Amino acid sequence: MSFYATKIDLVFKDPYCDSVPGLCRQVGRSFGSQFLPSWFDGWKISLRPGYTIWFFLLLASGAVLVLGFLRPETSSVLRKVDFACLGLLTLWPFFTAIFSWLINPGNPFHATDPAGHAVRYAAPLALLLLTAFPEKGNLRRVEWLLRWGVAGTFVGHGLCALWLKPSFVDLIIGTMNLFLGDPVFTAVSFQDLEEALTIAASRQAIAELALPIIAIQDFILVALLLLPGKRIKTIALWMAVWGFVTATSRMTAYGWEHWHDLALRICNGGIPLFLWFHWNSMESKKIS
Amino acid sequence: MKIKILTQLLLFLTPLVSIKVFSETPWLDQKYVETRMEDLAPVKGDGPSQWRVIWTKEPSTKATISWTTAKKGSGHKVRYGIRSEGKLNEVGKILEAQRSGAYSGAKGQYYHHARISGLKPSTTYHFEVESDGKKSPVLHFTTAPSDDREFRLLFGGDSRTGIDARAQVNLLMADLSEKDDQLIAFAHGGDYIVSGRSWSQWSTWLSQHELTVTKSGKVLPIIPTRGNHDGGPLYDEIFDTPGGSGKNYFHTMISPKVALVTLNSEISAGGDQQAWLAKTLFDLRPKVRWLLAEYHRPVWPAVKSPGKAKKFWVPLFEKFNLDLAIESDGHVIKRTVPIRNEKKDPTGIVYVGEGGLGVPQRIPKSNRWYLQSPGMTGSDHHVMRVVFGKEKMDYEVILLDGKQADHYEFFPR
Repeated sequence: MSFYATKIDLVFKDPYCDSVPGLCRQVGRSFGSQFLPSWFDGWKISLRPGYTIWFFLLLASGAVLVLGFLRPETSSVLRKVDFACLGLLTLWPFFTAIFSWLINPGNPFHATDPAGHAVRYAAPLALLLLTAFPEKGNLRRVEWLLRWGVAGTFVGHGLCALWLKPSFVDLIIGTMNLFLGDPVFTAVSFQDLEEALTIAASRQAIAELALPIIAIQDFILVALLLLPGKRIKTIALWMAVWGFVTATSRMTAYGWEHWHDLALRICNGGIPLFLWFHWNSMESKKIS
Repeated sequence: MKIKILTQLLLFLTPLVSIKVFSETPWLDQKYVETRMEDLAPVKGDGPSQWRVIWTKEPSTKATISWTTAKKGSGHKVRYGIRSEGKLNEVGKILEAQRSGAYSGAKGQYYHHARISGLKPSTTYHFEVESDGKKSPVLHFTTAPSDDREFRLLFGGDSRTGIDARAQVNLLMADLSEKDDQLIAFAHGGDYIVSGRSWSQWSTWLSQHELTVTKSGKVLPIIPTRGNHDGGPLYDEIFDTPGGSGKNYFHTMISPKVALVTLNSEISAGGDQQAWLAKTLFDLRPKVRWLLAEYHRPVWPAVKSPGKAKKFWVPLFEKFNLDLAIESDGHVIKRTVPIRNEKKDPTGIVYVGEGGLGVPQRIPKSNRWYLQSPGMTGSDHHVMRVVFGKEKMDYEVILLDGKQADHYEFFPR
C-alpha cells in the first residue's frame, strides 16, 4: 500500500505531470519501471497509456450510443459494460477539468475549468443515474443535476468573459474577420495597414466591450435557470442557442478544421436543448 | 623498479585527475552545481542581488539594469562606464534607479530598474549596482552593434521546473558566453517558473540567473517573452514591463540587419497585436537581412495542438517571409521543415525551439508531417545558438554536454 502511495505522491509532485497525457506517461513510467523487466524502456510504455485512454474514450462513446438503442437487461453483462462506459465518460472530463485547474496554479481562467466544463461530466453522470435508477422519482433529481451542470458551465464561461479571457477576445475578432473580412491580410500598402490598425483596434474594443455584457447575460440566465419551482422554457432555449453559437465560434474564428472544438462543446447547447425538450414534453403530457 | 611503477601510475592517473579537475563540462557534476548555487548572492539585508540586464527595443544604445534588495532602502543607483586600465572610466556615469517597488506577493523584497541610454554601440560597458552603500561586483555587457558585423544570440525557453537542470543549463550558457565575445544576448522564450504569481519561485529563478554570468563578470542581457506560466504582475516587475503594460510585445533591432519580433501568445493574438505585427513586419522586412519572431505557444507544435495565434500570425509570417520563428512550451527539441500554405515549401518558414532550459523533457510527436526530415525532433535539455552573418545564418542546438544536437543553415531571402 505504501508503495502505491509513494508512487502516487511522486506522480503528483513530479513537475513532468503538467498535463493529463503527461500524467499518464508518468504513471506508465513509474509503474512500468517497477513491474517490467529492466530492459524495457520506460519511455516506450510511457506513450501507451495516453493512446489507450484515447482508444477507450472513443470505444466507450460508441458503446454508450449502441447500448442506448439496445437497452440491455438490468442484470446483463451489457448493462454492466454500459455503466462502466458511462463511468469512464463521467470521470475523464471531471478529472481533466480538475487537473487543468491544478496544473496551472495562479491562472484565473484555468481555475474556472471545473465549473466551465460541468456539462461535460454532468451529461454522462445523468445518463448513468437514469440507467441505474430508472424510477420516475429520480427524473427530477437528474433534471436538477443537469440544471446545475448548465449553470456551472455558464458561470465558468461568464467569469472568463468578465475577465476578458484573451482567447474569447480572439473568438469575437476572428468571427468578425470571417464575416467582415480581415483588413490586416488584405492590406497591401502602408496606408492600408494604417487603416487596418484602426479597424483592428475597433474590433478589439468591440470584443472587450461585448464580453462583460455577455458575462452579465450568462449570470442572469443561470439565476433564472436555477429558480426553484420554475421551468422557464425560453431560458433553456436561449441557453441552447447561445451554447451552440459560442461552441460554433471556435470554427468561425479559427477555421472550419476546428470542428473538434465544437464537438467537445456540444453539451454546452445540447443539455439546455434537452431541458427545453423535456419541459415541453412534460407540458404536453399535462395538457393531454 | 619503484620509479617505473610510480611513473606508470602517474601516467594512468593524470588523465583521470585532469578529467575530474579540468572537466570542460563541470556542470554535469551535481556537486559542482550545488557548490555554485551556494555561492549565489543572497537576497538579504539592504545589499543588491539578482542583477540582470534587460534589452527591449534599442539595445545598441539602451539597456535596463535591474536588481533586487531585501529591504526598501533609500538610495539605489548604478554606476556604469567604459573600463580603461582596469578601472571604471573616470567619466563613468551614475544613474539612480527610475523605477523601484515591492515585488507582488513578496515578503519585503524590492525591485529596482535603472534605464540607461545614450550608450555606444558594440561597446563593452562595466557597471556595478549600489543600494544604500552596498555594491554588487563589477559586471559588464556589450551593447548591440550599429553596423553589419557578425554576432551571436542564445535562445531557449521553459526553465520553469527542474531547478538543478536549470542551473546546469545556466552554467552551460555562461561557458558559451565566456568563450565567445560575439555572443551578446539571450532571448528567453517564456515559462520561467511554474506559477507566475509565486515570488518564491521567481526569486529562485532570478538568483539562479546569476549562474549565466561568466567568471569575468560578463552578463548576457535578456530579451524576455511571456509564457503561459508567467501570468500576474511579477513578470512586469522583474523585466520592467517589456513592450508596455498589458502588451509585452515589441521588436528589438539587434543590428541594422537583424530584427527580433517578440510576441505575446498569452493575450489576444488578433486585433491590436496582429495589426501591430503586420505593420512591424511591413516596416522591417525591406530593411533587415534576418527577421525573426519569438513567442511562447507554438503554432507548429511538436507535442500539443497548435496555438490559437496560428490563424492570426502565420499568414503574416509567410507574407513577409520571416526567416526564423522560435517557439517554446512543448519541452522538446524541434525544427520543422520550411512551411508555407500548410505545406512543405522550400520558400517557407522554419519553426524551431519548444523549450529545454531545465524543464523535464517530453516525447515529441515526430510522426507529424512538418517534423519529418529534413526537420528534426529530440528530447534533451538544450540551448539554441544563432550566428547572424552576412552570407548565412547558422542555427544550432547545444546540449548540456556541449554536443550539437541540430544544425541548420539559412541563407538570405
